[in-house]
Amino acid sequence: MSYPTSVSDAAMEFLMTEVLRYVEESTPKEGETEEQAIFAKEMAAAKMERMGFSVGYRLCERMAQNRTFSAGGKDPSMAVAAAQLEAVKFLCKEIWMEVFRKQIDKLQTNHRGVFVLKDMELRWLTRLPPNTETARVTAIQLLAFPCGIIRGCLSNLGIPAVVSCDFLADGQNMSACSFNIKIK
Amino acid sequence: MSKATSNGQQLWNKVPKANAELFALTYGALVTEVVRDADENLATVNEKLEKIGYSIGIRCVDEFLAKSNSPYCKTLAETAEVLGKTAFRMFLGIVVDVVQHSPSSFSLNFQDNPLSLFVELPENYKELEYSILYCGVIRGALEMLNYKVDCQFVKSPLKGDDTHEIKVDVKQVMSDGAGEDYQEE
Repeated sequence: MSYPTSVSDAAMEFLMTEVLRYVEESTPKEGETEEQAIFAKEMAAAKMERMGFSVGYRLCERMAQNRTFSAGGKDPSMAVAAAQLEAVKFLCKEIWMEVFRKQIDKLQTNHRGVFVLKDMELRWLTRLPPNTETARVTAIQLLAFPCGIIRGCLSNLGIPAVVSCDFLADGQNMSACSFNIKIK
Repeated sequence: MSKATSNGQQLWNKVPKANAELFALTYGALVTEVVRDADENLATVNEKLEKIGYSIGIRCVDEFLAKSNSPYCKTLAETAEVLGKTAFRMFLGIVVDVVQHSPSSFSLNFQDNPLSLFVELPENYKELEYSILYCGVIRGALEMLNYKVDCQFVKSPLKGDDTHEIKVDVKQVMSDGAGEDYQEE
């Protein structure tokens, strides 16, 4: 039996919107005190991240079949770092291509386990209106999902990492963001 | 090939695509969260997923009408044809057979289901209507077209059948207009 390899972008976008909406609805409403409100937001972000993680983990499992991330012939400590770099490059190119249909624009690393990935035009953020506070809040919530995807992928490749994201929006262009990966 | 089918084919060739695996996995993650939130009460899960579909449906009908250039449908049979052959094709790229049962009910049959790629239901989850999202979408979309419908899965490969079958029953055709509250004095 053949199985579908693509769906329309619109369908994917509708689904993503609903994911975001579900997460918002299913976490407790903003509490009375500021602490409770922050807690509610964090719950929502954690949920988003968890979903991203499971998507990333499985997607990577599918895509990384028959691949090895190694750099043989070097001394062991170098080899580990080189393999990590290979894995992150795979993430920036192939995984990102599948999820966002473009590659990461810029990859920076200090070669000691910290990577910074910059995407100047993340597709899920392109439709947000510039210069509004609510759009900013939504964007930050939405970004927890790709953070989860990154963590899930790396975890599937045996690299435990902490991922956080920064919103690079300058008010006009809402779709620029960066992801910071710190390998444990 | 009917008009609706060829139109669907053309639209599908034209629309931007996303990876179906990503789509399936994202939906899977959503279902997992819903199951977790509902304490594994599968009736609640089904209801919630259907609601999520409904809210997609009421919005995706706009997208469809804006892009599809579909002709005006005069009967339910035509609407069903366009829904199955054009809309499903345009959004999901799958081929759907439409079977009319009576003037007020029809079935959609299809083999491929992008939502349930990789899915197998464990024994104690047989009550879960995994793809019930479609029912919600259809209910929402048809409600925007003034049809109040009842929509359910009668066959699903996840439960051992060989194809998917969604049965749609029209309960009521609503009249056009803004309703009593908005009449001019």
